[in-house]
Amino acid sequence: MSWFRRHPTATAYLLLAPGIAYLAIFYLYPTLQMFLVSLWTGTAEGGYQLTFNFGIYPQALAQYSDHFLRSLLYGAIATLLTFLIGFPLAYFIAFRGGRFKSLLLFLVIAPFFTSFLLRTLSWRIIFADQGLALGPLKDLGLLPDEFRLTATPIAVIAGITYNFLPFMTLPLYVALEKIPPSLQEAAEDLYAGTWQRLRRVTFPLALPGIFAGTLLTFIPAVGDFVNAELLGSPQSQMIGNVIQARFLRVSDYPTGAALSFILMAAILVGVFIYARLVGTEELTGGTS
Amino acid sequence: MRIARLLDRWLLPLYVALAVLYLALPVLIMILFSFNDPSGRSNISWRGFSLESWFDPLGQPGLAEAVTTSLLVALLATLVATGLGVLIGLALVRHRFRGRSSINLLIFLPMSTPEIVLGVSLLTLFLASTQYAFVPQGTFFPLGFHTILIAHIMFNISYVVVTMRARLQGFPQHLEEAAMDLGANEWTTFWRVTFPLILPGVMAAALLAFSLSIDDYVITVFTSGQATTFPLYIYGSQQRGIPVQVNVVGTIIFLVAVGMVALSTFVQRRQRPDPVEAAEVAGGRS
Amino acid sequence: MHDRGDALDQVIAAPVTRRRMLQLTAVTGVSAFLAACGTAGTGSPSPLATSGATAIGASPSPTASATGTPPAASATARASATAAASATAEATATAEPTIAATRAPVSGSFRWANWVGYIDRERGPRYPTLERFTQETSVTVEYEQAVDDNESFYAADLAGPLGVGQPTGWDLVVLTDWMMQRLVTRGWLEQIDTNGMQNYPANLLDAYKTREWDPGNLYAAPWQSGMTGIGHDRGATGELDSLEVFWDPAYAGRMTYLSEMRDTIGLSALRLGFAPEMLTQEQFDESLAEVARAVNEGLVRQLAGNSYVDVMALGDAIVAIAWSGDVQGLLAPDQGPDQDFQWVLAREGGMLWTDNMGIPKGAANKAQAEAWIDFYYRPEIAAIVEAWVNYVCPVKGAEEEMVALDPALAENTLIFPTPEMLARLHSFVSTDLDTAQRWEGAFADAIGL
Repeated sequence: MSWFRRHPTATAYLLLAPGIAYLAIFYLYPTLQMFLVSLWTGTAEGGYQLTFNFGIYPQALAQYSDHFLRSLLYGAIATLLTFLIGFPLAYFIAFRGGRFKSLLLFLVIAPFFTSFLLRTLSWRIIFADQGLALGPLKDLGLLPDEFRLTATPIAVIAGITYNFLPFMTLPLYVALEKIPPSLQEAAEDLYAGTWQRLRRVTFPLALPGIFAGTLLTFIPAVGDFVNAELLGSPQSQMIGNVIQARFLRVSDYPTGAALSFILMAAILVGVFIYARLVGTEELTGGTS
Repeated sequence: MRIARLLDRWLLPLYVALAVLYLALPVLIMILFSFNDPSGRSNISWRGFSLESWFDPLGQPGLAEAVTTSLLVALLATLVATGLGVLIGLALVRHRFRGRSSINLLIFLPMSTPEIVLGVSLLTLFLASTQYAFVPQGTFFPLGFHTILIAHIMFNISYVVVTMRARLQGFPQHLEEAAMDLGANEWTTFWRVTFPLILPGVMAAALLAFSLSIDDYVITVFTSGQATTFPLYIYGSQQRGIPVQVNVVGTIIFLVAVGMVALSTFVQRRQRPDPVEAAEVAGGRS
Repeated sequence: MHDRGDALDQVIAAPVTRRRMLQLTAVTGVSAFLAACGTAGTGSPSPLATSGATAIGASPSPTASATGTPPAASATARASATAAASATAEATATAEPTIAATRAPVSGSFRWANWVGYIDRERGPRYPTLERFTQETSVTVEYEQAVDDNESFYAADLAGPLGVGQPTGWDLVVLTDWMMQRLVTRGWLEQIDTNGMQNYPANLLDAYKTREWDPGNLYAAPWQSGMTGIGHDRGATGELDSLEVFWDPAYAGRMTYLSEMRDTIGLSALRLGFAPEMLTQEQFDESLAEVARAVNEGLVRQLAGNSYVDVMALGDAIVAIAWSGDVQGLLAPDQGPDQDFQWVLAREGGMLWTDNMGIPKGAANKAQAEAWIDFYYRPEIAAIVEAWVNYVCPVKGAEEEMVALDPALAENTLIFPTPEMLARLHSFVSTDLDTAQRWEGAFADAIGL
C-alpha cells in the first residue's frame, strides 16, 4: 500500500494545498489589503498613511448612497427581466425541445462567444437615435423625434439583462430538465390547469435553478459598470462607475476601496440571507 | 384552458423564435459590420460592403499585440487554473477531511464577488506591495502581463473546481481499486484509469476557463497597466474610432468558438459513452 | 490657491493686450523678414528646396475637406503673412532637406504615443509624414494612438514604471501642458538634447518660450495647440455663437460635455464671466455647480473624452463641447448628407491649451525621438501636419508654408486664430497638485461618477 493510500487525509491536504494557497494569497489577502487601503489617508501626490480612518465608511456610504441604491435597483430589475424572459425559454427547451434541445441550447449560448463589449457596442448602434431601430419608427411618426433609448436607464437595464440572460436561462434549464415528466403528467391527471401546474409543481421543483440563476445574474449585475458607461447617461451611473472613477480617474484610493468593500460585504450578506430564506443547502455546492 | 393551449402551441414557439433572434441580433450586427467599408473613421455607420478588412485582419497598430496577449494569457491561465482546480476538485469529491465546508466556502466566495471588487482588491494588493520589504521591486508593480495572468488564474480556479465537482459525482472508484488489485501502483492507476475518466470534465473546465479569460474586461482593466488584451483594445478603440478589423477579429473568435463546440459535440456523439456517466446511470442518479 | 506665477502658457493665454497683438503680428513678420534676409542661418533658397516645396503641394491630402471652414476676417497678421508669402515661401522652405548636419545621424526606431487624429493619416493606416521622416533619416516610427485621456494614460502607462524608476517603453509621448508640468515637477522627463538641432527650439514660436515650468523648452516641445469651443451640427442647430447653448433646454439630451475637467469647468467659468486663468476656489465651486445643474436637469446626454466624436457622428448629439481640430479633421470628412459639422469659438470665449512632446525618463530611443522633434519643427513639415490636423501650429514659418501649400488655408481660423479670437481664449489656472486632485474628484462627483 502506498503512502497516499495510507494517509488519505494528508493526501487530500496535499491536493488542496497549491490551489488554496493561491486563493489565499490572491483572493483573501487582497480583500484584507483592500480593507486596509480604505483606511488610508492622503493623496496620490503626497503619499498615503494608514490612519485607520473608519469614518470613511459612513462618509462614502452617505455620499454615494444614490449610486448604491441605483445599482441594487437596476440589478434587481435586470434579474427579474432575465427570469421573465429566460423561464419560458428554458421551459420550452426542457419540455418541448425534443430533438432540438442541444441546438436550441447552443443558439442560446452561442451569442455569448463574442466579446461582450462588442455586443454592447452593437446595441448602441442598433438603438442610435436615428439608427436601425428608432429611425424608421420616427419616420413613420410612431415615435416623437426627441425620443431616445441610448443614454437612458432603460438602455442600461436592457443591456444588463441581455448580457446576463444565459446566466439565468442555463441554470433554469438544468433544473427544469431534472423534473421527471411523470410528475407533470400526474398533476394533469389530477385536473390541474396549466397555470396551476406551473405554480404548484414546476416552479417549486425548479427552485434550485431559480436560486442559482438569480445569484449568478444579480451579483455581477450590481457590480457592472460597462453597460452604464456605454449605454447610460450621467444620471444612470452605477456604483461600479464610481469605483472605477475613484481608482482610475481621480486616484482617490481610500474612497474607492471603501466603496468596493461595502459592495462586496453587502452582496455577501444578501446572499447568505437569501440562502437561508430559500432554504437550500446547495449554497456552496458542497456535498455532505 | 383554450387560451393555455393556444399559448402552448403557438405563442411559446413564436416567443422562443423571437428570443433567439433577440439574442442573436447584436452578433449579427457585429458580423455584418465586419464587412463594412473601412474608409470611415469609426465603424459605427454602414458605408458599404467591403472584404478589405478580412484580408488584413490584424492590420491596426497594437491589434496583433493585443490579440496575442489575450491568447497567451488565456492559455497560461487555463493551464494553471485547471491544474490547481482539478487537484482541489479531486480532493473535495474523493476524500473526507476536516475543514471541507470552509474550503467549499472559499471556492464559492470569488464567484459571488462582483468582478469589479476582485479587480480592485488585486490592484490594492499590487499597489501596496511596493511598500513591503520582502517583495522585491517590480514584482507586482508596475502592472503588466504578469499581473493580468495572476488575476485570471485566480478567478478561474473557482469555476474549474465547480465544474470538476459536478463531473466527478459518482466517480467509479471501484475501477481504481480494481486496477490497484491488479498490481498497478498509484501513478499508473492515476494516468491509465483516473485521468482518462476525468478527462471530459477537465476539458469542459478548461474550455470554460479559457472562454472566461479571453473575454474578461473588468478585472483586466484594473490589473493591466500598460499591457493590452483584446477586450481592452476594443474599449480603447471605441474612444478613438473603431477599426473594422475589430469586428473581423471578433467574428473570427466567435466562429472558432462555435466551431470548437460543434466539433466537440460531434466527437462526443461518435464516442463510446462516458464511463463516468454510465456508472452514474447504473448506480442511479443521486 | 491659484498660483499665477506658475501659470502655464501664461503668455499664450494671457489676456491679449495691444502689445500682445503687435507681438503676434511681429512674430510672423519678423520670421518672414529674417528668413528673407537669410539671417536665420537658412541660407539662400536652393533649387532643391523649391522643388521640395512643389512636391509637397502636389501630394494629395485631405486638406480639401479641411478648407470648408467658416470664412473669418483676415486679421493684420494674416495680411502681412500673405503679402510675404511669395517672398518667404521659398526662403522658409530652406530648412535643410537633411537633418542637422552637426548631429550624429541616427537610425533605428522609436515608439510614440499620441492622441487620435493628431497627425496626417491615410487609409491603411499610413502616416505620410512619418514615412517621409523614415525616408530621410532611416528611423522608423512605431506610432500608436495610445492616449485617450491625460489622466488615464498617466495612470496606466507612466505612473507605474516611472514611480519605481523603470522605463515606460515609450520614447515619445504627447500630453497636455498641465500633465507635462506634473511630469517635469516629478523629474520624469528626459531633457531634450538640443545640441546641434537646427529647428528646435529655433523655430518655436516665441509665444511658447516663456513657460515658467519649462524655461528653455528643454522638456516639453509643443506639438499642437488647440481650442475648446462649441462643436455642432449646423444642419440641425443653425448657427450658434454663445456658451448659453450648453445650458439651453432646447437641446436637452442632445449635448455632450467633455470629461476633461479643465475644459468643461473652463467654459462654465467663462459663461459666468470668470477668468479661467485666475479661477479661485469660490469661482470653481460656482462653475461646477452650473455643470452639475446641467447634468442633473438632464441637459447633458453624456460626458465623453475623445468618443464624443462618435456620439456626434451617430447623430445622438448635435451640440458638444469640442476640440477645434476634431470637427474638421475627424467629423467633417465622414459626415452624412444632412450633416454639417462646424466648430465655433463662443463669443464669451474658449479654452486654449497646448499638447507637448516629451521623452519619458529612461526612454531607450531618446536620440531617435529627438531626431523626430527636429524634423517636425521644419516649417514645411509642420505645415503638412497642420493642414490635416487643423489645430494651431507652434512652429514658426509654418503659416507661410501652408499658405504656399493652399492659399485657402490661410482663412482657416482653426489653424490661424485671429488676434480677436486669441483675445477670447484662455488657459486654465495651474494649481498645486493636491488642489488639482480635489477638483478632479469634485468634478467626477458632479458628473454622476
